[in-house]
Amino acid sequence: MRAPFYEYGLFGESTSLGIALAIGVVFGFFLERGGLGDARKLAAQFYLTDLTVLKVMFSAIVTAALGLFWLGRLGILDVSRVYVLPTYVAPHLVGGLVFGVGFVMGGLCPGTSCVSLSSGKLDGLVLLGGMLLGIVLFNETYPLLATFYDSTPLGQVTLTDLFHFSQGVMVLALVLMAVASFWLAERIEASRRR
Amino acid sequence: MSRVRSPNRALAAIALLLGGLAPLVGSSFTAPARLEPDGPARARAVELARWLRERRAVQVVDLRDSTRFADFHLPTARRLAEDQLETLDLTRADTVVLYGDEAVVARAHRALADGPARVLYMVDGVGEWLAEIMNPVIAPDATAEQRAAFAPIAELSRYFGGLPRQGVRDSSGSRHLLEQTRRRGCAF
Repeated sequence: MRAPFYEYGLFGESTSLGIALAIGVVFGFFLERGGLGDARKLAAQFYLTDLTVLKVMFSAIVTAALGLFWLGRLGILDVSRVYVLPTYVAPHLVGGLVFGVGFVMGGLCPGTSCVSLSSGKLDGLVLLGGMLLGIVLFNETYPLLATFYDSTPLGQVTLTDLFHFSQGVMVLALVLMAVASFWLAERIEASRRR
Repeated sequence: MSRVRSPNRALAAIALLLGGLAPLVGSSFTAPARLEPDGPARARAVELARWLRERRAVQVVDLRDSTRFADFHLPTARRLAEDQLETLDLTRADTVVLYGDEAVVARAHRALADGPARVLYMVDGVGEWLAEIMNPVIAPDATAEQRAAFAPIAELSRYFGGLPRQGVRDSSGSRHLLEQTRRRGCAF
């Protein structure tokens, strides 16, 4: 039995949606328990007073990178069947900027706004409403945006493709970057506390 | 604080160990197969329509799921799952045209291309068929040359139950074209 299970036909669409729901609930639970449903904690990332977001995100990236690499190496996971989102340079830059501005202003991102709402915080509701409004606006104005939306495509490109290093070297580089970031984050937070 | 730090340091050590070993053990990763939109193995809808009309020995293979196959499929297409491709008993005289999701088609093409048969693929096979064969469009201000070039496509379209027309090309997507095709009573 090999993964991705859905790609290998172990279960169908309905089951995959149920599994996605279950994973989402567990993910939301751990986000909330980690305090990431609190806009003040998230916004503090940008003021360098609380770098929990950096640590959570980088931990997830390293766990996923190591997991994908080693499960692939052991023959458990067919990494070539894991979907890689195509890259569109300009649209992704603009989208990232819009996302970043919204994140700093609101203190929440789309996922954490759901977490915030589920723990009874009204700002989560407002942000969720804003996100849905943004989705509607995007869809309604899509004909005007379509050309830009599809511009500067690079295809399904990975860091390995970009830097021409082996997968193993990229994984090691990610881990070293993460550990260095955690060490630096601890030092910054400690200095801010003084 | 020291209680929190111990698990973190242990996790960091494990990550460094696994990360450090990664460059040494090599990778089993194979780059995902991809389709070349302008590659020599790409089959166009008009080309396929001509072969089918001429009753050439072409096997059309739909690599999508059964729901989408039942919804609409190309004429004479048979549906196969990716792991059923070996049931195709192919010889040098065979031509196979694959269509479906890009990643699946790319892998299937890669798997079959070294075999004896001529293996081709379509990029967005259903979309291209609906647009080019079932709903071909010629601009109202087309030149005589363009109309002459459109005439055989229009004939092909009518052969397969399509509706060639004059007007603006519909860019609303294959779902809309499929609904248009259905409303005309085409029972593919």
